[in-house]
Amino acid sequence: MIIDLDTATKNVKTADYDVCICGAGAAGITLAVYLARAGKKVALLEAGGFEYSDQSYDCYKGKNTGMEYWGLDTCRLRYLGGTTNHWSGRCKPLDEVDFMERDFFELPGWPIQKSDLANYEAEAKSVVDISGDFTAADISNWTSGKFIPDRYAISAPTRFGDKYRAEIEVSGNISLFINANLIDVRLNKELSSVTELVVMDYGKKRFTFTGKNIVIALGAIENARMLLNCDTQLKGGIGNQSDFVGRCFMEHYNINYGFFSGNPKYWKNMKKGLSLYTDSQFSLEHKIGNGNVSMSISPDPPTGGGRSKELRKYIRNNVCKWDEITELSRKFVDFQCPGDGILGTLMEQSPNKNSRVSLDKETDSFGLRRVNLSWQMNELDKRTIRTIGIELAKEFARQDYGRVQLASYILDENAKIPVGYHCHSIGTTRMSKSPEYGVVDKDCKVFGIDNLYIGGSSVFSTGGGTNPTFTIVELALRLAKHLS
Amino acid sequence: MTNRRKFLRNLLSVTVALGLSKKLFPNLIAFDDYFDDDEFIIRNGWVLLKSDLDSTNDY
Repeated sequence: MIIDLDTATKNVKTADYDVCICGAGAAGITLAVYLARAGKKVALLEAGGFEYSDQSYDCYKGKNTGMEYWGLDTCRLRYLGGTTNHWSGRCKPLDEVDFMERDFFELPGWPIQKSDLANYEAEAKSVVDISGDFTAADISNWTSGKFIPDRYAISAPTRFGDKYRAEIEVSGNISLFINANLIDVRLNKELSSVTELVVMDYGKKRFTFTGKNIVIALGAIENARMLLNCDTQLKGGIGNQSDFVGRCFMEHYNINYGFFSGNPKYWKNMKKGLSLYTDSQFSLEHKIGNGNVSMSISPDPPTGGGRSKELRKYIRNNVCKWDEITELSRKFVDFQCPGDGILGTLMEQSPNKNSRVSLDKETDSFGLRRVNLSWQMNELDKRTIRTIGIELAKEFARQDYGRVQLASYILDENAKIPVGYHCHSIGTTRMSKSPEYGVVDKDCKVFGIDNLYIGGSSVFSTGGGTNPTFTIVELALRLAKHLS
Repeated sequence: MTNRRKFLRNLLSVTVALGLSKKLFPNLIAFDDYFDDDEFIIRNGWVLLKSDLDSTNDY
């Protein structure tokens, strides 16, 4: 059943659900569907509608006061399906090393192991419509022990809103409320349990929802923003007794390492490119995070559209003819010549308390303070980026797969590393053994609150060098089982 | 403009450009001694095997 709060009367059923889930993205929809299939009565609250709207996106506006980052109202999608409406579809579970305690990280790691999620891997594959094993490029002659062919699968990608809308519509156990903005989370007198959720439509009608259990799954930035905004009963916000809500915001660094020249012996028939991942022994030995480096050969003629297409075409037709001019020109303009080996990266960011989401003074139309994102890189992350780049270049030469030309900021430790990003916001309500180092316990329950859970990538204790959606789904399936 | 003057002007332009580029982009040459092992060497940012310097391999 789907109810639009903008047009609903006050008489809609808002009470006595088994579970109220705030946010209908990858985590929220997976949870709702699997809880409903298990016979639970679910209220699924989605702040947007079925597509983009200005009034919904206005709530996402905020400030970036740290490293350069996506516009906060462009990287996230605020309607049914959430950010799965523009995800790439790359799927891979986290590795065992990601769950290991790494004492060179600033903070403790996950309180669970890879085996705790392994039981949900097959079901998660079905949720995102992938079948078979996670596979790597077949490069049997690659013998490096430092970098191994990365195993992954590609989802269509599944748009969760499109895929599950029909099931939600006919389900007798799910009530999906659209245009339902969570405004406040009210606690009992003892401040130990959620009593009700305050929700408003865009006409500012006020509704109160109640359920035995509550899950907040609004996305990593918004989960923290909501908990911090709920500070009328608990100073500093809900779950924030150790000042961890909003802290340890992590992304995956997208670093431009430079170029490579591929040995035609290996690259002539390598149509899909090569995706390598750090071997766990290598990253542990160097005391660095993990990362993926994807290599491919730039095609000829140029692909893709966009405003820079004509400029790129001109450069390829002219500048690319002379090696020396190309080298010099690349100092000013980043461009690729046909046949260039392109290096794409997805590097792990370590948990860092100074990289954080906090609240701005300015408020949105519901009176909630807007987000202030201060994304920060620490020294360990710089070492991760540089070590992987340099060691990969050496292995590439050693294996005679080609030669890598590294950007100067990889070789110069005093240079500033230009940072790109992947729209993977994670880690703001991190999972921990105790409230001393996090916000939720191993079951995703907020420390100190009996019936409040968090869904999505905000609970990640560490982020690995892997796209997060598959792990988000595994965690949602695990939470669904816990709440069933 | 005579061919001789054109040649001299172009020569001057190229000389100035190269000089400026090394001044503005010292990293073009700064990492030659980055590795202190017998296996690798860097030339203009390219991570090479030392044996590459004697090789005719141009990929």
